Amino acid sequence: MRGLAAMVTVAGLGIGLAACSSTSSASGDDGPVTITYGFWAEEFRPAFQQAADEFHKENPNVTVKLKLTPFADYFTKLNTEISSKTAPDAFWLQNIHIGLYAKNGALADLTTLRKDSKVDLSGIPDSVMKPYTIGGKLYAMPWQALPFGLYYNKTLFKAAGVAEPTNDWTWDDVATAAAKLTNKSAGIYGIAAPVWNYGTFYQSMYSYGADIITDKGKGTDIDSPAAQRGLKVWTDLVQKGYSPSVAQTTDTPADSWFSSGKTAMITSGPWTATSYSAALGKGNLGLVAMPKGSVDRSGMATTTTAIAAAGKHIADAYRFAEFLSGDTGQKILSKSGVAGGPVNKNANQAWIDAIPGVGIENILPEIATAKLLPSSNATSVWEDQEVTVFTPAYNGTASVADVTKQMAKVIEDSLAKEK
Amino acid sequence: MVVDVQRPQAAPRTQPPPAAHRVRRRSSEGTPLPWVLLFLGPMALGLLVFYIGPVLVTFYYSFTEWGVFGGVTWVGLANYAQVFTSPEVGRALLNTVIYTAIVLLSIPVALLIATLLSRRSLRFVSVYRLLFFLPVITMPVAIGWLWKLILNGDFGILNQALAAVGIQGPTWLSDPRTALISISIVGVWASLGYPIILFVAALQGVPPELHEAAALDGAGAVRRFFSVTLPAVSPTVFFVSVLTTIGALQMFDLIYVMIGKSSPVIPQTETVIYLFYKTAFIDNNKGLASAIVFGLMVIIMLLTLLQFRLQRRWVHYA
Repeated sequence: MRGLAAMVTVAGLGIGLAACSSTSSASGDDGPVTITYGFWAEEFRPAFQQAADEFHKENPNVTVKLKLTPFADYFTKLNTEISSKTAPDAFWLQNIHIGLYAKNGALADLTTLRKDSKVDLSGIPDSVMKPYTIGGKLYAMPWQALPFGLYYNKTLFKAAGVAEPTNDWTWDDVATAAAKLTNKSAGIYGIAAPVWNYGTFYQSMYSYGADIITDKGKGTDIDSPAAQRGLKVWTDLVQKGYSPSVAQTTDTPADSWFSSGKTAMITSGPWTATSYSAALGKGNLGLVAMPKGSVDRSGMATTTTAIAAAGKHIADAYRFAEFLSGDTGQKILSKSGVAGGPVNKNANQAWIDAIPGVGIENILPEIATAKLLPSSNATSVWEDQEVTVFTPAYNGTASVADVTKQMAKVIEDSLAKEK
Repeated sequence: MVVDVQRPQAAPRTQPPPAAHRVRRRSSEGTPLPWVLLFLGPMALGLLVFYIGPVLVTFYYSFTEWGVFGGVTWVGLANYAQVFTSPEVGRALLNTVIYTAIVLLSIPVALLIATLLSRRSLRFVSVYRLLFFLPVITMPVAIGWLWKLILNGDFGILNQALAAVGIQGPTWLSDPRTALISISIVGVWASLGYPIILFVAALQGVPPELHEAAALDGAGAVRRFFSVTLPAVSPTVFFVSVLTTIGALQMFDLIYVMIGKSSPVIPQTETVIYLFYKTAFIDNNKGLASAIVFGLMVIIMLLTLLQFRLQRRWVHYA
């Protein structure tokens, strides 16, 4: 027994000594520094690695290490890491998250760093930078703008003898064309209308003047006549049979309906351009600006880089985030063709050249005029209920007025709990 | 018959054992404590750290509310109040009970298949046993994905087969009327092999003399099944039903893979564990989620206790 006790003591001491040995963390920004950069889409790795390498050439003492967490687990993991102060130095955040993370002190304040920086960011429109300053403090650097547009299948349009969409189309034009393009016997639908907020009814609601989340995040107008009109665009398309039903687009994702050539139109963001183009074949894919309602306003999402407040290399991490939004970084990202639109208009041409022949230039102007998609401090709590609440209107078992009123109550209850 | 009565052993010792042997106890009086600790210690430690510890911690968390990035505040019984009054929890519980009932109803089917597989005249028995057991050892996620493709409303092979005979199949996994039943059937398909193997083994333990005696008394195959086979395998049936209940009440994988997070039929299919996952990781309300999962644990414990109590009535131990 004495032998066993001795063994355990020695082992314990050994482990303790090993843990106490100093790690290689640099104390200041003088020695070589490695910063971790968290992201969620593997297909972006080559572009970001190229940007990291280019940044390293300009800042030889800083190395950027990319760290991937798949989207499904990204925020769960990030939140856990933030609470245990082990988050990456810099990480992706969508615009809808900035408010929540900033409010909880998870993000570093970048105001002074930005003010003192000599990097030229004049290519970024003010409207794009504005949402990331909250309470006078800058919390994130945008690097990707995702304006949405209307994709269409040129072959199906030609076969049905319907004129191709233009940048001036309204939702009525969409409905008219969808009617002519639907061919039930051939299994072809005019448009894919899934119950997908970002790409469908958020866009139409914005285009009729509704803001969805109002009053600086304290109220909602989703039951207003403008929002109802926006929702009705899509419920009509499904009920008239110009789109597969909700059950059908749940079983088979709307993307598949379009890329397999079974629907002629779909509204989506720029990240699908390359895969649609590959699926439909060369020269067969078209893209125009989001159709208009009573105003020319579509919805847009952005992706940003935020810096962890508990990070040890905030200044270096900020410099990399700034590099990604600057002319050089933006051109690298746009050239890859995988990223969405640039936030910096000096990279516009690089993006157009990266995805040729589709019509990317048609959704570029939206970046300066679009409104960010709606969000609050606990967006998922109310947003996840939209599918359940709105589906009866698509199936025709409830009216648009009723479901929007129900949804307004859900949002108001949720916002009240957010305080 | 004359039975030999064993005479007691030789006269007991009259001298005390030598001093040197007093310290070491004989194994018939219990193993020395240090050896017990050495062999049971690692497993007990693992059990404590990875099973019992988390249960106690979850119990504590069920009385708290969590901040988004950590930080825990005590809220007393507020979470449990919400669990008892929330219609979503009630619906999830109903879905779970329906699923469990369907899976339990498959136990007689497993017994029937096991009986058919135990016929001595059957050829290729190992092939059948393999086919029935393969789903059991396949990952639930793989099973979920495969069946999701098969049950696809427009392009799945089930509906295409039905269309060949002129039936328009529904969108199985997106129609609120058929979604839960479809998942239950997949759940049964995936788990049937396990009770079948257990029943095959149990059937082999039924003494053939009982069957012969019953046949001599004029009992047909069906009567023999209910009066001889069933009571003889009742311990195994009991074991299977307890395990099946516990497992079915915790169903999560199939819902997560086949229904997904944005389907309109989530209210009609979500089970208690799926609701737990959603509350904890999508809504980030870990306090309420702890209360939900602890409530489920209590329900499972009560049901298991009930089953153990009832076994006296119908389980025949040899």
